[in-house]
Amino acid sequence: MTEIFFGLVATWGLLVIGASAYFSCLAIPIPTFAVMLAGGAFAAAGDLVLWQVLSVAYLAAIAGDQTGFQLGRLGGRWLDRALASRPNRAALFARAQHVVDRWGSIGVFFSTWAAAPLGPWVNFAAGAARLNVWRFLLWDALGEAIWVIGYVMLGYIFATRLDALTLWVSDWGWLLTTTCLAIAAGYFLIRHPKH
Amino acid sequence: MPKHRHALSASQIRTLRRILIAVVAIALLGAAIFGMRLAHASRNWQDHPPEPIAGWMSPRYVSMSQHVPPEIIGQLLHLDPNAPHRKVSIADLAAEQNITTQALITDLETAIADFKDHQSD
Repeated sequence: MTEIFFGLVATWGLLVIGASAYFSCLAIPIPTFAVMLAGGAFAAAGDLVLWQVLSVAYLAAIAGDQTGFQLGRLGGRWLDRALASRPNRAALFARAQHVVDRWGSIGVFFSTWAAAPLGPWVNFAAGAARLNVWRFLLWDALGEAIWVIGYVMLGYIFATRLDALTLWVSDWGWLLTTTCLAIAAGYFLIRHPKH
Repeated sequence: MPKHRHALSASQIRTLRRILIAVVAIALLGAAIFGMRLAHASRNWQDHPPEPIAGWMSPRYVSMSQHVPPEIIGQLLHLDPNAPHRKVSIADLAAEQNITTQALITDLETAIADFKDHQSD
């Protein structure tokens, strides 16, 4: 599967890198981490230019996150109207909004790089819960910088071992995601005692 | 922030706790599985064999991964040295030459081995 995307990067270059970074932020299942690694590896081989790979991936990822955030805002408005006549569910949604208002920035930051598979859903949730647009942009831009630079440079440095690197980074990414999820869920569990 | 009531009912807190417990359990199980896979992959990192030539690779990538000058790979693949660089994979070149990708890879491997033998002489 990932080899198909490697071939697409070899043939279409920046176009595939940008499209992949954008659409993966909208929860479309694309192995974007492998595309970023391939972008770095092909830059090391001289097929692509490193700063162009970094710039296109970074701008496309931020544009994708912003699109997801705005879609979430639209959904949030609809939820507000739908919950107006259902006070119990409205309380739950208001509580979720309160949590996002308090923890949204840190959630957006970590979901862009440490828990990247959760990123699109965090964007939708942040938009639906009306996290401040500028706070979202700031933490999203910081997190995406870590994600894009980290993955593209790993591909650049270990360019001759792309197959092995992809497997290693995939496992590492899921280990980080599950660890972040366990810590976050455990923290909220402790904060909501049984009685 | 909309002015909704924040207090959750007892049943909502119970449901929320059950969901959080399930998330913690699944996430810890996932962390254990991926941690073991990562440890295994890290152990094999040093012993991993050189990456074989594959259809997705570009001529320059083959040159880099096989430690052969790009001009040599260009000659082997009948690429025009004066033409501007174009993005193409080994699979694309095989299709252009009306041969299978595997046949082109085999030709490349043989020619690269010959070149390295010649270099070491």
